[in-house]
Amino acid sequence: MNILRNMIYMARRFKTATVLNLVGLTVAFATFYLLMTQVVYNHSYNKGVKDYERVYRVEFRDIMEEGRWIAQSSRLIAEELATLPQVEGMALLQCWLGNERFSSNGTDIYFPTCGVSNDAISLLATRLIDGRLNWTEGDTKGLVIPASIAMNYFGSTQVAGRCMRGVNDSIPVIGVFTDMPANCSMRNCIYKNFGDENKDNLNNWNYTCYLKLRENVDADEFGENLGKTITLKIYEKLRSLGKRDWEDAEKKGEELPVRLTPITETWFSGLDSNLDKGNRNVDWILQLACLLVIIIATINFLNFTLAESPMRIKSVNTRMVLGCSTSALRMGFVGEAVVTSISAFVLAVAAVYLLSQSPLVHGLLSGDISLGGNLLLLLALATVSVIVGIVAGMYPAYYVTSFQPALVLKGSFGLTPKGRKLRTALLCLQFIITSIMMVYVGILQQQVHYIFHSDYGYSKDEVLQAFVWEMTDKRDAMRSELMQLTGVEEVSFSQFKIGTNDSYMGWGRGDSDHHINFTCIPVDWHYLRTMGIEVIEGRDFNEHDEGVLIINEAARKQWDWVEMDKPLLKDFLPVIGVCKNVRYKSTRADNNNAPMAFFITGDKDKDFYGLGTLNVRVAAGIDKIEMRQKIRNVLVGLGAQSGIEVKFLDQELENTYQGEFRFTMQVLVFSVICMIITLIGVFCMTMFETEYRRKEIGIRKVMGSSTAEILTMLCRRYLWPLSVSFVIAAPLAWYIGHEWLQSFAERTPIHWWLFPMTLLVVAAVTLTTVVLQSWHVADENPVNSIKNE
Amino acid sequence: MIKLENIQKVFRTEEVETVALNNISLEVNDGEFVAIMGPSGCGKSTLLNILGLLDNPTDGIYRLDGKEVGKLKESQRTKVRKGQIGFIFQSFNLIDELNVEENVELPLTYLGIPKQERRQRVEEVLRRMSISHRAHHFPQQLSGGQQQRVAIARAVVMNPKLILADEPTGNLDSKNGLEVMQLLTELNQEGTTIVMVTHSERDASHAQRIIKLFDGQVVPDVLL
Repeated sequence: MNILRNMIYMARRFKTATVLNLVGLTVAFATFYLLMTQVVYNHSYNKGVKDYERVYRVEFRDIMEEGRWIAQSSRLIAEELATLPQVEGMALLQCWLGNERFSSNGTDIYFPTCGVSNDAISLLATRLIDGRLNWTEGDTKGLVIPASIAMNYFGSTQVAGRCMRGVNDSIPVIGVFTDMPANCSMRNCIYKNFGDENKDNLNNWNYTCYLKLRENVDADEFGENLGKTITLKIYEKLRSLGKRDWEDAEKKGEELPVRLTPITETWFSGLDSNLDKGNRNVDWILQLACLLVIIIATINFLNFTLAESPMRIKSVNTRMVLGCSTSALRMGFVGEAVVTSISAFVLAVAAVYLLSQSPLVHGLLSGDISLGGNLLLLLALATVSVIVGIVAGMYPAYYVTSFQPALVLKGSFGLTPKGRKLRTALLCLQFIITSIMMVYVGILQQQVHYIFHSDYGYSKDEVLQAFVWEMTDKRDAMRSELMQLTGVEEVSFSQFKIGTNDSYMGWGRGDSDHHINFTCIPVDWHYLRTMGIEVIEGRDFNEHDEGVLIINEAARKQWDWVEMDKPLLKDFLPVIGVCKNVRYKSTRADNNNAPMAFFITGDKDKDFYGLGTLNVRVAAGIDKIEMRQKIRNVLVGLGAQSGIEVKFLDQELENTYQGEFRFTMQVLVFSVICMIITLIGVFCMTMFETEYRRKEIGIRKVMGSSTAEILTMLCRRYLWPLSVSFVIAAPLAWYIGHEWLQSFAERTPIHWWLFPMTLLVVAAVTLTTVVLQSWHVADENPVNSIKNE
Repeated sequence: MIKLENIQKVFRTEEVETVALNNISLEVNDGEFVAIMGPSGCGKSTLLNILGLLDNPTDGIYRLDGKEVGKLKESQRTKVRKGQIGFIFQSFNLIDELNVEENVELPLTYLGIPKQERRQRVEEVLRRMSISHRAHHFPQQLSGGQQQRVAIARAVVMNPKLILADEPTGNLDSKNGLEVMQLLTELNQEGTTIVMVTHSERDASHAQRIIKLFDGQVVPDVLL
């Protein structure tokens, strides 16, 4: 009861400071919880996979580029891996998802689809709901679907044996599994068996291979010898197939570099841009952010209790004189702080509940932020809140009770050099953290600006794109009608939307003289003109071309034997031109050094390579929104679904860099929160300081000081710690920012002006807070403050 | 130097209206030493605050050196006050965080006097107040008498025309009190006008004239 009575008394006396302190703690706890859900998401990745401790992704080196690891596998190699005695099962999944049309009661529904090996789903999915999840050697028909799709299409999950109506035929569902969590490599799409596709093909690396090792197999030991073992098996297999693909390598005794990555760690590997969206630096920073936000709030709270304590020294000492034990008084102090902290925890939980209803917050975080789904995290936060309370209450409790009871302090601890030094040091720590975060967010924003505004090597602002996979048979009609629209300058089709992905079709080819790996992007002959890609040697494609390549500068540099209009390798496609390096992958990849070729298939192979991406170049300066609608109307008129999306490349980039943008947003929000909490601290400190210094301010005014001079004096009190803190923070922020930028092969320089600008912003906001808070005391009639003494 | 005409000061709260000064008219000439006496609550300190431009009267005219100053804003009052009026308080009102030298230097800083000159003037005044050996001590390290001497030093360092003293010996023993009064008398003899609020008849005896207040009104002048 005493604790509550004391708390209520102090809260009444310092209403604003108490409320702000509580708000600061609440915001910090809520932020901690929300950021931790993202950390939990990162660290529970793929833990929804059955027996995930024994499941590994197979990764290879030197396939596409010397020294680069890839997450893609060749089916031939995967099949050989499955035969090893240590392997309990192998799951092979196509790297890319398709998008297929199904009809239900006359309505078209599009679902993502993925081709897989016989046992892939039964190996990875946690729970079977109905039917079976695997195919047999002789029977590869049928679909395996997640419960969500079953509910969407059939309205039930017990649908094994029922058919889904596709474009050409009805396909039976053979099994239904419980949806996998969002943080999982296995998507909740329709799975089809890919039959014998690429079964004996060593050169097609378009699959992801997962191995489940038998229990008691030492993965490290197995992984160490895997390269040698599998290389021998591949040589043997190739010989048995009569293929001579790796004959030279076998002669030289070369070994295929291969490794196993635990499926729970693939998130951070960054090898597969579609799946491995985690980033260790980002994860580390998020964890650090969780810690920092608690530190900042604890400092505020500690400063608050420290500032309050001088006002309580008299009453505490009086109690001691009257016989109250020191330990009881100390417990009381700590108890008050803990109750405050727990109150903030309760408020934070309420705030999180409200925030979890907001789509904005869901967009900011990948993980499950619901309270019910994070009970352990809530428990951890409750513990943190108790610890924060103890830390904030302990020092003032010991300080206030450390005097001889007979001596009631004459001065004020709030202004003693010791008290001021301690609070200034704590304030500096807050400023350091805030400044680091503000500079860091500036660096992130610079990279985002770089992503959108640097040179792509093609006219990304003038090209609209759409996926038209379901109507590739109407390419000529689309082109013809679109070209008639005023403002449309060129129309072309390609297999992919360049610049939006890090994984494209990889080709490995070789002859007796050379072995090359490169990214191949099938296009039609209008493509380079549509995209505005400059040809710097040889010529552009023309309508008569069939089976020819235009390579990029990087390839030209690496393949010094290339001659125009001559085959790249023996019995391989000719190169007709060299184009400038373009950013065909994201900025995460080094687009200037990776060999790439645009491949024109000619009419006969157009359908094989599925040129399902429409690219429309529009004239600069036209109303793009209107043009987008016109293009959509043409496509719908030709049979596209009404919801077909026609996008500018900028919009696609938002998807490509979703992880980075989300992280930038998280850091931005976090930095603002840090700033707000720090400002709350500054506000409270100024309030206490001006309260303590009221008499001094009054005397100074009597002696002739103006209000402005008083404000300057109070501001100077914060300006020095802020400047010193910034000097400490700047190199740290540079380092963290520099580390983050390393995840981009193409990145912005860290501009020098970011540092003074950030200092200016932080200083301006801080000093404004100080001025606003201390104005009424600085401007007060000095008679009042002197009279109060 | 000072001319008050029908000065009124009313303090209003939500519930109570208190008339602290009721139609006070008085004059203080250049070089005079005037004591203001009266029982507690009669308005002595309020009058002193108005004289020192720390507060404005509710009504009436206050002329300082012939200029109407009773209706000035705080910033304007500060300008007039600076360098012209020195204050001495019963509770000394020294700033705990500044040492003796810095406390005395304070009004010179606000006058914008260069550092070197400031130091020189502070040294002189501290010597004069016989406190220069304590220049680097903090107020808490001084006795009451020493603190009040510092306060007087601070009040006179800028050579003000007028010194307002609010019970300057109230917190001092008789020996220290006497020393302070001797210092004030000396200053007056050198030409500084002094207006002092006091309860002490003995202190008032140092003044040339006593103004007695009762219930916010002036009781006719008493000439010594």
